[in-house]
Amino acid sequence: MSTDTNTVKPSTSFTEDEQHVAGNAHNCFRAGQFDATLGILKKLQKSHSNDARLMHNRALTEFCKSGKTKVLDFKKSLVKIQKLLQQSNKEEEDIVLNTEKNNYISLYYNQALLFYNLHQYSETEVILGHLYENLDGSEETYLLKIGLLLIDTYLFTYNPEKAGNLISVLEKNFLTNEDATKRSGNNDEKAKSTPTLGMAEAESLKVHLRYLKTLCCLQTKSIKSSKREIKSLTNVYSNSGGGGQQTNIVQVASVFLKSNFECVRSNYHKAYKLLGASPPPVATNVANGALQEGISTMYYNNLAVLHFGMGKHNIGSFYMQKALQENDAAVSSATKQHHLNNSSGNSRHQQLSTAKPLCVLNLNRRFELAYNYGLQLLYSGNPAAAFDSLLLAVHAFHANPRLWLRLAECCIHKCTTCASAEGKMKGGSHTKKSNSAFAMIGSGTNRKVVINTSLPPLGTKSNNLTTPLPTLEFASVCLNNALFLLKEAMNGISWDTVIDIKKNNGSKSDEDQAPELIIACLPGAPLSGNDIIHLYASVLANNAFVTLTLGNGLLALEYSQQLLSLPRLSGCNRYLGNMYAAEALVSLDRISEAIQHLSVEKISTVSLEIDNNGMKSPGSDDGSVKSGQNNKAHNHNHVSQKATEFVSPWHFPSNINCAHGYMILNLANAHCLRSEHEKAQRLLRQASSLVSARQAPPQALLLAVYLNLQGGGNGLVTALLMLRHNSLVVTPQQTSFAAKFPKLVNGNGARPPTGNNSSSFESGSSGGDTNSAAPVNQTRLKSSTPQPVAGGQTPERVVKAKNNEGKKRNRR
Amino acid sequence: MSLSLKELSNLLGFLQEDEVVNQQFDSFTSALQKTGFTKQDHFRVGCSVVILLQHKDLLPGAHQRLAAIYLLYDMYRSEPVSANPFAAVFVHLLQPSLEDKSSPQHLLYPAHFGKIPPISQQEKAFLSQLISSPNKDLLKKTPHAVLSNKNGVTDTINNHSYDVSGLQVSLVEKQSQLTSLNKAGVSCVIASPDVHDIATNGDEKSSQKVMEALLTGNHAPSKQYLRPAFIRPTPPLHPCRDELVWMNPMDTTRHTFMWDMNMTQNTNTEVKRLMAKAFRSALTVPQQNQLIAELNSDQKLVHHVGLTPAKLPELVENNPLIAIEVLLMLMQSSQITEYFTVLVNMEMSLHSMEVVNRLTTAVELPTEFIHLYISNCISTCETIKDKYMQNRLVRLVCVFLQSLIRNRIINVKELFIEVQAFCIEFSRIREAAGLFRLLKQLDSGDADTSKK
Repeated sequence: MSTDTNTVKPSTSFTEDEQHVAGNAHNCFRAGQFDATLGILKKLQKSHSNDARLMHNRALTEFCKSGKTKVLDFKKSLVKIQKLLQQSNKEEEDIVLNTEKNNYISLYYNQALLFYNLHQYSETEVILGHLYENLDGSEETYLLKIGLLLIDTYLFTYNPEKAGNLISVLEKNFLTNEDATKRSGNNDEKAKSTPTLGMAEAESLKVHLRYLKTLCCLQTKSIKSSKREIKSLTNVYSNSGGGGQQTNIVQVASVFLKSNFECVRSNYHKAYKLLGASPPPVATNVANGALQEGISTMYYNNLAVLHFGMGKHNIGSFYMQKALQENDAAVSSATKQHHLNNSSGNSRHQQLSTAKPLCVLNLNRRFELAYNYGLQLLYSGNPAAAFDSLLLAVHAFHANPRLWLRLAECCIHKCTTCASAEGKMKGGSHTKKSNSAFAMIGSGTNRKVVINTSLPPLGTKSNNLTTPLPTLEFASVCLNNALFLLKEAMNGISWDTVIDIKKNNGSKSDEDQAPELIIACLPGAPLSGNDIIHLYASVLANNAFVTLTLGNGLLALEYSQQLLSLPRLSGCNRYLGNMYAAEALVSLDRISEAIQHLSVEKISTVSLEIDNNGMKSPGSDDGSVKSGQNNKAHNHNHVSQKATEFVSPWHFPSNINCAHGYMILNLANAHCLRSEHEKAQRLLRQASSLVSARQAPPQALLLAVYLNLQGGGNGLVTALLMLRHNSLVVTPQQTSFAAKFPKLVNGNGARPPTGNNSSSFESGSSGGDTNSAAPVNQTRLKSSTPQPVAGGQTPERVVKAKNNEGKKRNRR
Repeated sequence: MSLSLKELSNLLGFLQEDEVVNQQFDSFTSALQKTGFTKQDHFRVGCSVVILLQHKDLLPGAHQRLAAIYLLYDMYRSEPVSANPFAAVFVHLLQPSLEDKSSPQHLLYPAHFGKIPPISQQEKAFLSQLISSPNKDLLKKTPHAVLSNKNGVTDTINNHSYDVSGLQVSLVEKQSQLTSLNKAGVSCVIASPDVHDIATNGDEKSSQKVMEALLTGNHAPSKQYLRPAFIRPTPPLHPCRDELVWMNPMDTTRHTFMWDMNMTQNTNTEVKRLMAKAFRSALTVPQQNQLIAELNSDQKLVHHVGLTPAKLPELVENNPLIAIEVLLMLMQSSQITEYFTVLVNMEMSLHSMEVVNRLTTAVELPTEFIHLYISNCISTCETIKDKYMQNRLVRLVCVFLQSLIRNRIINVKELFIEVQAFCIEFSRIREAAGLFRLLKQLDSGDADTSKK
């Protein structure tokens, strides 16, 4: 190769003959006679063995000849030609090199298009960006081609601003003249202007650009302009209604847009009505026009998105499944179709029939679908399946920090819900979930009560970290990835600037001053401002949880402290951060520090929304956007609340009281560890008044039992009773069980036993200090629980209890 | 930490009341080995033994219990007592217990959870001796001998006060290294004898079953412990906002692969390369000549060499001559105004001035363009900080203006006040004074003509 470097430059110029021949080659190529084209090119190459353009056209022809199936070969040869060019320009500087690229626009454009079809949009963006920047004004056909592809790419990578700019550039360059001529009816002017486009062409371009513009508006979420664009677009469509097939597609497209518009405004029901009212996509065997292909996939996908928005995750995942099926069907049928069209008695047909042509590769949107499906599954409480689906998506979108967080969430929820599901199985549907708080072993004198201390272990040990399984270990890998991606994207930018930008957005004036930090999260919309900080916080919270569960207290402390030091936090994350920090500190034996974290006053809400510090103000158009977002935010809040309730029954407190209760329980735990049992008892009582009996976590019971066991003789009995009745408080009727040992039991109940089914709860939990403790609050709760397990109370014993109670009172 | 079923039966077989009664203590080690327990198993065995000791009903025989206690000692005999993981058991057993005086109810219902029931004086004596000064004679004894040794009791009571404080201190020291969370664990097995179920009382089989349940299996209660457990709420799912992909149909048929039309066209790559270089650095004279010649040969070529208005300043700075040529060629193009705007707004320099000057002589430029350029120059001169540069620039501007005026390219009247102010401000500079004179001359000349 090295010897060729000099010959790349057109050292030998082409003769006129050769130029003529080359023209023939182009004609053959356009006519689809690839074999003939190749023949000519080969002949030409004999005298110009290293001409880059020749090589490029030959590669292109070969690619087209294969029915656009030899994607990899084409890609390779393009790269090879580029390398050749680069080598010849080695001594030049970068800038020169970039302009040099524009000498070979076709080469780079084709490469970009290849990447585009392979859904590698960032590569496409880079290549086309360079080409576009260095384009000199004269090359109008190139400008149009590059511009259109670049717009599409920007739309895929969520760059609506850039796309919008480009659209207006194209409009200016290609449409203004036509408009002017149309208005004035003056044909002279048109003739004078560069007639790059015919009338019909210009018209179709106009419609196309309109369509793209609408997509832009939808992406920027500006309600007003979207509305306007959609309206004008539908007008255009209805005007241009002509051929049957075409209108059908156009109709579908406009329905999609309208529905998308409502979806952006969070009017999911309306969007659903719009989309559902459109005729369900017919399975088209007439593969005509790219708009048509895969439309049913999109249809089901969008339906799924709408249902997700409405919080109906199960229906959503059903539709998602359908979309995936449609996608597969579309891909296979398109492949078949393609080969039918191209076979024409070709002997190689058989061999090629499995190779997918480029247009099919483009059609295939498996990874995006997998991403959507995974999210639906995760929210519908099926983390294991969600994990598999998202794992597929991560192949394509590994640079998306949010996706990594979702994967981790799958792992976490898989591990935690498995645990609770087991509990449910054991407990049956009627009994309380923590019915398995203890087990009876043996009988007679040998009878033992075994407290079920182990909340089922969450981490599975000795797992290879790199194998993707929904384990907590893998979750930690995912979270570290997410953290790394976020940190890299922020690249030393302080949180203040991230948020300041958000502030400036309100006034809109100095928006250009600081470039807004945007983190791309393909295939979803990118993040900016508060969303970034929120995501960062969630990643940290999850990471703290995982590391804590895996037993790495030091790291968990680090993460939770980082979390708490963020300048803006959702109530939920603040709560979690404090809880995790406290537990991590306890595991590090820094109990007094832990206690500081467990102050209830700090927590005023556990909502998932970030507290905005009263920063919703902006004006007209922006305002409407904001309100839309708020509306949605509210919706989402609602939705996710539902989801969490569904996914983790007691893991996360559903309201502020409950959250406080949990926190106080942890505080009690901390005091208990410092052997401050009295204080722990008091806190326990306080907590149980905050947490409804149904939500009481098993830890509370265990702590109560523990405290009583530590308390000495009387406590033991109370502890046993608590276990039996699965409640934090022991009623006099229950204490009567222990009345056989009058010395040991010191109940204060004067209430006569009322029967097994209704038991009254008293705040005084038990033991020696029940006497001193005034009943702080008397909550009556109906416990519909049947008496658990053998060894409960028998009528005989109740009677005995009655007798004994009398005695007790006397003694007091 | 749990035992297998076989190990349990081995252990129980080993601790059979009948077996143990008359076995010498020093034969325990080998007997234990014979049953198949190796050094690694000792801790597990010890843990199980402790549970058995805690629950008297599971290990009812007095000899058994003594043997079990001895076993805890024996398994770690080679190490100092303080290193024995079960040293705490010994400390507990040797403490003068208050329970001695307690009522017999405790036998029925063990009030003290998780504590090993107290042992007799004889046992205490034996144990303390074992810990403090074990001798061969002691090990020659059998459990039966120890328990039946009524005389020994008084002896040992007199001789030893069961001083375990030393051992206790070392234990506390060891434990202080543990976190309080780790120290907080208690056994999760609570004795809860069912006094009403007399039928199964003392049933051999039932106790066997209980032991199996307690000591074997993967989740054996013996492995577990109760300690304050923190509530660790699972983080809820991150709110999902704009995350799902909505799909709109995209028309991909518009994008088609491009045939390179320039193939075999003897293209101007060389020109383009030279041009690209010209943006970066000054070209040599032959290069300049070549470039200009090439550009002149094809009038349209200038549109295809990669020149854009944005790049003009670079070209002007590096190669003013080429810039002039190129601009002259572009005069007819629609973009020329854009080039002019760029030129006016670019930083003032000798080169840019030269270009403008040459342009003014070659073609007729729009007057507003020239005016704009002049006021731009003047304001640059006024604002520049560097004195030396200022002088230089002022001279340049003055010469430039003079030439413009002399060539009658600008009408002085329109700029009179501005230029005059400029001259006065920089009157210390000779050229400025010259320009001023020229202005005056023209003014008076005009006045003369108007008078006439």
